[in-house]
Amino acid sequence: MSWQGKILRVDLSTGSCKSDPLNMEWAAAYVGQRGLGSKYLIEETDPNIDPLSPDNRLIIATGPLTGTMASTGGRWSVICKSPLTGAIACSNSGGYFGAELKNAGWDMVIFEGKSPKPVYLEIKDDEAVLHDASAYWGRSIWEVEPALKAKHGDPQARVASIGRAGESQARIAAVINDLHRAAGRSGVGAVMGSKNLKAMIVRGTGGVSVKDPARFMAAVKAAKDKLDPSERRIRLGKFGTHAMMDATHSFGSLPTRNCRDMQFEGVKKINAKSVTVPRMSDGKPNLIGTKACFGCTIACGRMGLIDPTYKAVEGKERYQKGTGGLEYENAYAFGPMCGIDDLNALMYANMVCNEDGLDSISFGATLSAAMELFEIGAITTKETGGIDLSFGNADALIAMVELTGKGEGFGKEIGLGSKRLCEKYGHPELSMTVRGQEFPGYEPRAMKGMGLAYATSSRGACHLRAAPFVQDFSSTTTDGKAEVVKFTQDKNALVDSLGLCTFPGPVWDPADIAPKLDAALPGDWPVERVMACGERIWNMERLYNTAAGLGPEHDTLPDRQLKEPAKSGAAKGQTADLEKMLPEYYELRGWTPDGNPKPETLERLGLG
Amino acid sequence: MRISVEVHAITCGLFPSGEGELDLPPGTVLADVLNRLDLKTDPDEVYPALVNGTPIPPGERDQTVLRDGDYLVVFPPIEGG
Repeated sequence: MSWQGKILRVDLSTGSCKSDPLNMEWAAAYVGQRGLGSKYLIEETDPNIDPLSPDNRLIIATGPLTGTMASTGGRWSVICKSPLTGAIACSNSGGYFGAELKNAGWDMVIFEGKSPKPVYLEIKDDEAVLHDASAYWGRSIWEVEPALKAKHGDPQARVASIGRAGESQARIAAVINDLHRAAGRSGVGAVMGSKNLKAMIVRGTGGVSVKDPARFMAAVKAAKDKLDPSERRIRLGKFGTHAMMDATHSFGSLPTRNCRDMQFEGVKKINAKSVTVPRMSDGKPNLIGTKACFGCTIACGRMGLIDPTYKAVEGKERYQKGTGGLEYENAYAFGPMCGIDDLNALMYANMVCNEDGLDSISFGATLSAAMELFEIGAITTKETGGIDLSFGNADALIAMVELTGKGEGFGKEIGLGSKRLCEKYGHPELSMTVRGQEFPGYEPRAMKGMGLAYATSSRGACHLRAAPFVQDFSSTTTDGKAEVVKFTQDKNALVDSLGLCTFPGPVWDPADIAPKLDAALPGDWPVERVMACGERIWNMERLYNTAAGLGPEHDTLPDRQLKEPAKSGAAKGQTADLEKMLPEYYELRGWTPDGNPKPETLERLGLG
Repeated sequence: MRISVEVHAITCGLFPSGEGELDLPPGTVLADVLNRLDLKTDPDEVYPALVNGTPIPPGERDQTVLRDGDYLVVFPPIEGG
């Protein structure tokens, strides 16, 4: 119970689908979703495989609380070896797809091999079958999702699919579900494309049972009652994550123009307030509503409507209706990172990323690197096909997102990601990446804890693998940052393995989370056990990455953050000070001074 | 003395529009101003506060004396993206 106890195994090479029992010993130690999916990947594949070969697995994983009444219990993940980084990839999404899969009776779907022709998977409760997807290959996510629902006559079904970016195996391709939600990071969409898997359509009617329903609902209510009145919840509900932009700009931690600057002069044209202001053309604001994922009581999701007279969408009906966004990360990546203050251009880029299946963070951050390469003359209009890639050029954003989404022209180069692009054109130092993954919207010179979090993240630069936000915004020193990074890495590894969202943040401490597991799952789940699961998962990912050649020597940041002092903001004159934090971090982790888990640490966590 | 205030929290009772100015007696410390802003929230939550662009940690706010012309920015506890 809470776990469904079943895995769907799909061999794409032979076209077979079969049910396997869930390994309950592993479930007890790695819980679900991120932890359990990663355990299966690690046990079934060599860490040095080519991520785009049939040897890779594509694992679709729910957590034990996915699809239950637990607030925020709609999360699910895509797990594989990343074609962007070479490290372990676990990309997390919300919406309704994960809960539907769980209600269909499956904890996970594991795809292996490669189909000889495009296919999609249909799941209807216990039944699973592969269908020919030739008619859908080459079509966008926004075309395929409604077409599949219509074909199967079920508007209530949920779909996750790849767009043309995934088909062309862009290393920054995403898997998109429910039209606007993304398992975005680490190029998981390219792995799906490499397997000739276009989509999954799921319908589940079975429900999810828990061990002690009355106690479970009491635990759910207690946590929800704590979350509801918090400023964090209220603000995320009213302004979404976009509210972060004023904070990072004020603080001086808003990555701008490929991290050359840390504050953006055009911020007021693209911040959370800007989307509420009625525009001249039709008197409507960009923001038209909010949306929530399955079971969520925060509802941070935004629904936006682009100006119908904007040049990029004139005459294109599909862009002239409400759609997801803007969120902070895509607004940061298309806006300040590229020096662009045109709100409609940001909105358009976001729509195309959803339509064609691109990771908006990696796309925007890679475009910003291309803009700096263009500025120094390392690439010219000869390479870009005549497009002027100057910082601040909204037309360049519009043109490049279209080309990258389709895998055409210079868009193929952007699809490589920032690291490969900058290496190809002779300037690897201009890639703002860790382990090959592009920065989210937080600058490590001002946010020291986030810098440590990026440097040690198991999937490359990431703002969701740790949560040192409160401490970073309180001080630009390194004091106490290693401790909060270590704690929140373990906590988020746990939360990502349950089917819950990390956005409640410190409002929910482990003592608010453990009672839900204890009431839902077989056995006892005290705080100590759940936190040990998080730490175990973190160390397991570390071992995999080291075996894949991405170990402690990659615990670093670009030279720009390590050597170039910040020009403005709270951290003016400072660098990331990573060397001050790493030794303390390794010690807190029970790792050797050179960053490897000690035998006794592995023994304690059951990884020896 | 007079200071400028920019507040990005939606529950600020004193400045519903998010910005304004405050007349304060000499010797006023940051903690006093934050209390006057009427930021209704969980007492465990920390609102980041910058004085002239410098973040002031929670433990220093009752010793941080404000001066005429200071610019205070307050934003809410928020994370993610």
